Amino acid sequence: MTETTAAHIEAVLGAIGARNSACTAYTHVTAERARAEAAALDKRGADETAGPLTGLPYAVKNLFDVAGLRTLAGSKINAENPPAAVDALLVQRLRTAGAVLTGTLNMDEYAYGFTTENSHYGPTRNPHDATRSAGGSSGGSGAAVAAGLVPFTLGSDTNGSIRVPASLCGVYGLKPTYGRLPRSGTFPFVASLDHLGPLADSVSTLAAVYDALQGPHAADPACAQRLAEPVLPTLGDDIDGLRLAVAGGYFCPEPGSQADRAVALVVHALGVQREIQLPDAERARAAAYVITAAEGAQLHLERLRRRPADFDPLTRPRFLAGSQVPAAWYVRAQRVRRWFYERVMALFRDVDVFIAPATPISAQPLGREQFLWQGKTLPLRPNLGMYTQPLSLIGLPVVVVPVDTGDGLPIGVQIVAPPWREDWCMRVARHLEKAVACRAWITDSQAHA
Amino acid sequence: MDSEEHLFAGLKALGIEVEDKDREGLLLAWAGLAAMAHRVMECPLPDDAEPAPQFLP
Repeated sequence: MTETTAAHIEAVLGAIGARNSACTAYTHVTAERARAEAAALDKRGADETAGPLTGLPYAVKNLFDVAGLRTLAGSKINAENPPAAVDALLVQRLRTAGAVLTGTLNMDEYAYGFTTENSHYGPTRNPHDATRSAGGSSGGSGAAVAAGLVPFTLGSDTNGSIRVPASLCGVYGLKPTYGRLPRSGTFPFVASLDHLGPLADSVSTLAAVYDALQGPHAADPACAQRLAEPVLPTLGDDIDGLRLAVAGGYFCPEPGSQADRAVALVVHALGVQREIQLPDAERARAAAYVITAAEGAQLHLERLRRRPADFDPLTRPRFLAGSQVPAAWYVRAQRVRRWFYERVMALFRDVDVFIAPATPISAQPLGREQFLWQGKTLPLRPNLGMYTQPLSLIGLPVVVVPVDTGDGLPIGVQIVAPPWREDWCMRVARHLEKAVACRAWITDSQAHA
Repeated sequence: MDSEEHLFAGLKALGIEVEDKDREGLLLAWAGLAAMAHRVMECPLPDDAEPAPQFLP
């Protein structure tokens, strides 16, 4: 490539300036910082000190600390906090790897939502249909990649907040094993469920970014003291030795639905013959719901006391309700969590990777409150996470692959492995990427081509 | 005291004031949470089922 990094980044910034207003993926563009980082890379040149992501532009959900910016976490209240003094640890690692930060991205307030209908900063619109949601809570992270503004972004996933927007925007998303990536320098939501991870326009980019992010850090007490286990070296390995299955029961989509067809396409592409049943997944999902409400409300209790009117109307009632969760509910939910974890681990004695839908439906119109599912009318916003919540409850690594079912909008499928086997998820995702039906949906990739 | 009174009394005990315009949304959120909690509470756990450790896995 003869183009300088500075020229490339200038083109990216131009595309963001021209097209962000159509989707509101970005809440802040760090143009001067991006130019400075690009110039520094050009000055250094293509010598052996260049990192694996040299010159790749990216952006982060606005709950990541970025030096000099206020860490909004989607809220009005946090906009009054002092600017962050230093970058979040994962942003530091990406800078070391040569990636260029272009800005911060929209999200549901305090990450409590699946639609990024943020009343303070506006809704993030789906790049494939601007009348529809990009999913959430990392909606800006999904939309920025799907709009072709940057090849990858960072998001967070407590109950599905990377996987839901990946599904609705048609991009790849990784929620690593709980404890894999340090969360230092990010605004929390639910300490015992919060994960960070990348979204990307290809599996190879997803893998390269993930490898650059890995490694323990003492500042996050939940971060496992495991050395990096790179996935790129085995990404192209075949999957013949992996024992694959599809999750049935609770994870069966409505027959004939788009989600059902997406799972069927993936099952066919992989030659999956076996079905497994995750025991009591519906109760596991309920446990995640209760734990989220209790821990999330506890985190925000002082803000709920002092400034309830400044919360987003979509999150305020749920935080208020969560503040009243009885100890009996919370402790029981944590017991269900442990019980579910042990029973799912037993399934992994016979299976290496299983397939599950990511969302029950594709992107829905902004403002929609309900959807029809298996003959029942359900609230839309909480139920976009019905298939993601049981899996993050027990910290399993998951890659979402985008699927083209021919319905005009993408929908994702989850590739799930036992703890610490992100490499297996990635290998299966790479295998599926080779199939035409599992390419990322990018509306315009010229900006970073 | 019914559950609705209990809910608002609990919020008051925490020093949280609820405006009238928020009552309906709060009751709806509480109903959704209670439905989920019901599923959790009815789960037939063995007596030796320990709470999850803070950090899994």
